[in-house]
Amino acid sequence: MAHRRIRLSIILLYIILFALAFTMLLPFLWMLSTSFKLDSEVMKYPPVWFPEHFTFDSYATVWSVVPFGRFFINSVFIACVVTFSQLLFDSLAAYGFVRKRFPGREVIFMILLSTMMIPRQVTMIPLFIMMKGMPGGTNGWIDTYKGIIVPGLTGAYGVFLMRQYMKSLPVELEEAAMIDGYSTWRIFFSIVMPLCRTALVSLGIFTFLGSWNDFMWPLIVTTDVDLRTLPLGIAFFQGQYIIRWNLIMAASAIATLPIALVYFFFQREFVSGIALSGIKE
Amino acid sequence: MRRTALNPRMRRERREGYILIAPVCIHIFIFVIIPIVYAFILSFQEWNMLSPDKDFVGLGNYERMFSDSVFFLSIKNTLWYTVWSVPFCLVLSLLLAVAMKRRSAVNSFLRTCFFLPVIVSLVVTSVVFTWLFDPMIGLVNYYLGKIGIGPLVWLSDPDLALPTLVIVSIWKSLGYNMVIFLAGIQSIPDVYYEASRIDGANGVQQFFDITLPLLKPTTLFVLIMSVMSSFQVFDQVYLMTSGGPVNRTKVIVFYIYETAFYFFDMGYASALSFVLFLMILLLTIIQFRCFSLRDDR
Repeated sequence: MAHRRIRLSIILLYIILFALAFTMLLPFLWMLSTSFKLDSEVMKYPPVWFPEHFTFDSYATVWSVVPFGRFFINSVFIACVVTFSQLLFDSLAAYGFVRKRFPGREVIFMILLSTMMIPRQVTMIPLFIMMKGMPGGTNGWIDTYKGIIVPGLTGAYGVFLMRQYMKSLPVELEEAAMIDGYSTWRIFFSIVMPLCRTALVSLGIFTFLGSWNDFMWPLIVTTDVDLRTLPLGIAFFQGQYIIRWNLIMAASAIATLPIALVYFFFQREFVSGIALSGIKE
Repeated sequence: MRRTALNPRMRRERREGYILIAPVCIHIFIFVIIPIVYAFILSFQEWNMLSPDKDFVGLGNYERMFSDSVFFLSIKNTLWYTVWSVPFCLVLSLLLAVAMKRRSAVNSFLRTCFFLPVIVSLVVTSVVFTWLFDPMIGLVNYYLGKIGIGPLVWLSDPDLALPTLVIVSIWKSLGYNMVIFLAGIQSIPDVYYEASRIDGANGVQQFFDITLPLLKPTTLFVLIMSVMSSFQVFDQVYLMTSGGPVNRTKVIVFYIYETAFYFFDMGYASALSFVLFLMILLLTIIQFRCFSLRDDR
């Protein structure tokens, strides 16, 4: 009897879990379903899940209605530069904090850490004014790639994450290399960086994701259509083509695809990265 | 005298240390620390970005908040949003993590479903939910109509707009919290559960006597992160409601954005952003206190 009760409750639990999971997926499924519809079918009421005329038209049209290709390239370019720069400079700094002794090391690190407490809304306004005042043109760095990219080139969070990871690495290998006459730089690039693969992948994913999905900063620092990233492009798209939901959903699907791919390939690093930031705190 | 005491190797180590941290330190100094100081100074000034000179107004900007009804409304909206989204999301994600803690193919499929919304941009999320909640031909109204509810106008209804944003926020952040809870749960040694099973404890007792107390640091972390991000909600508001209808979804960050970039009232916006910072700091301290107080018992 007791056994059957337990079995029943487990079945019931999984029915609830699957129902909830389906609810979580529903917006994605509806996005895909809408994106495969013709204009006429989108406005149909009652709504249909499976389009009668299954079509990829929206995915083709999107690129010509707005400079969507341009938005896509902008997003890829900005996210790649920011990610590469953060991986390099944050690890360099983390290495310095972990393995080198110098006066002021702890104080500087504490100051870096405490900048993570400041919400970005505090720095957003002065940063905008600073960008406007940068040399070059009347608008400075407003409406330039520099304006979007440069403020994000390093991050205290990345230094913190890499430092936590590097602390756990054995120092013996580096000492042996030092005795063999390796320079600090050679040790860093040929020994430390390869050992940090897991942490680098985690940090890389988060930085890429953050940059790819960022909305607020590009919104503030650009007005030029040619500089829009995908999130801005989609937002602007929705404002212009308010009822062409099939196009908007196709654009959303295209913007989500690269991130979904990254997630499926690096699922473990993804999840362990989040867990790391949660536990190490 | 002390300099000569350093041997060349130590001196080289020092130099290399500074070179290694220099790029990040210089970058953060220019793009984080200077802006913070700048924002602090701006918050005592009045400046519309057009006139060449900034007027020093002392505490004027901070005093102005006391008579600014939109400011109070934005605080109220932010608190309402936080109070409805954070506890619900926290409890649900904890329960989900407990329910799916065992490693199995089914559980990992389910976890992926809950985690997917986390990686999607808030812009895509907002756009898809605007479509789902469309008052005329939206999917949600269609199904609610079938069980005799509605049609509701969701984002255009002053009483429903903020709850709709809460729903979106729960959908978006559930998976993130769940993953952190899962990591916490999986770090609890199995022996605790085995011992309590021998003592005859059932699942519910195990949850309250083992899981919950041992997850306290994790819960504190999730709580603090959730409150912080609720106080900074912006993208959804900008895209789904623009602060409307009748200011009912105007949260503090949207108000700051509007003040700075629609009205170019840079001084007042900076003062508002400092008040936001202080509120977040205060709430974080309170949460730390509450949790450590319970430790003493």
